[in-house]
Amino acid sequence: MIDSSATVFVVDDEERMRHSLHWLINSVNLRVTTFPSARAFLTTYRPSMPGCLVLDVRMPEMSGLELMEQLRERGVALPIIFLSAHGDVPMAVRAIKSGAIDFLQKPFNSQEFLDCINLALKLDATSRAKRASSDRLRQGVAMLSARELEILELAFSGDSSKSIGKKLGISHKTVEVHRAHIMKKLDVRSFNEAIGKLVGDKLLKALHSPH
Amino acid sequence: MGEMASALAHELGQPLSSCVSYLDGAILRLRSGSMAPAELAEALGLAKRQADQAGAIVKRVKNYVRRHRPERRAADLNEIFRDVVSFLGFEIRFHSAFVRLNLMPDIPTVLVDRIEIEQVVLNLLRNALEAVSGLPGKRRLLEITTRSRGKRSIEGIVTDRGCGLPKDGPNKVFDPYFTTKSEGLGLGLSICRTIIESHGGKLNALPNSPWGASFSFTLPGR
Repeated sequence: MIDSSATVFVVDDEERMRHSLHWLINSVNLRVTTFPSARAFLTTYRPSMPGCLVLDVRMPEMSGLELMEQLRERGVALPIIFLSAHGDVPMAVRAIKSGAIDFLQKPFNSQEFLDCINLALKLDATSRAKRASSDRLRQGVAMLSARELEILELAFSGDSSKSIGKKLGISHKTVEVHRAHIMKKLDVRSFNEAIGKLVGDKLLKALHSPH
Repeated sequence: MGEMASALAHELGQPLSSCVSYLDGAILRLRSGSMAPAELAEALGLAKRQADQAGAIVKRVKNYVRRHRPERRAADLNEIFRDVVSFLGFEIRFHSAFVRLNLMPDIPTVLVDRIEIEQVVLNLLRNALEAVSGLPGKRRLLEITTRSRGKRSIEGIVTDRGCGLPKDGPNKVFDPYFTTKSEGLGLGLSICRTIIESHGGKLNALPNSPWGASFSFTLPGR
């Protein structure tokens, strides 16, 4: 689901473009904030703000492409749609190759533009949800005790509670209690789910490093 | 011409883009029933302002092309053709084309803005070169003719044996934005016609038999 605080950030050095884009995007009840320069956007934007970015390619000082490269260097994954008044093929190729959603030429088709924005917002919401769940998992793993980690590892290699108990010199009832704690800390309903998530998130390696 | 066309596309693209955004935004709001009349009036006003600006740009370009007070001096049309052909020497060789000059001896002078007429001749010859590019040898011939026509009119003709004119109307080539090229806006011939007409002459396109096209322009003699 798209976050209700998701915002379409528009960066264009031309006042009339900012105003008319604001009006158009607002017409479909989306939040919009406009900026006259890449610099102005960078000073305001925080990576925690969900949404997408609409960028004019050619601007004085920092161009749209330069801004995209800076954002990517800072690890900001905000989806980007480019607007250009020039039929600049090499620029479009460079933008798309660096992961831009689309490269639209002014005057562009409004519906196509709004469809692009919706797609960008959806992509941003999905990637944010993924990152949030992987963060929660990481936090859960960090809360596990040394004994719990041992048990998780043995379970991952396919050992039953009984054989884990034998290997660790504890009763299988105690192993069951540890397993319940692990499930609670990782916020999962079954042990298999926990292992599935850890594999999916490539967190198993982290388990092997000293805690 | 290419740079001017690109600058023009940029200049017009901005206001037109804004105009369309206001109008489409208004349509979307009307459809969802969430727009007050005052808001609609505001959007239409903003859209109109952008359209007016696009109009002003077009006017400016027209004035630039027409140049209200062009510098008109007596000039020799034969000399203009010779100069442009020599200026195009490299391009003519590049397309392996041949140029035949049938110039009227002792041609009366014309009263023109020489730079503007050179632009027209340059455009016609470049189009002709592109029309024959890649064709067999006997078709890569361009013919340039000058002659007097009637009492006070001088005519210049550029004939090629290239791909010819649109079947559904040879005059289509003068429509702004008519183009057969992958690059370019299609403003060249439309601007040429404006230049010739501003001198009190005419620019026409005629099919040439068996191949190609003939572009003829007239200029009033002195």
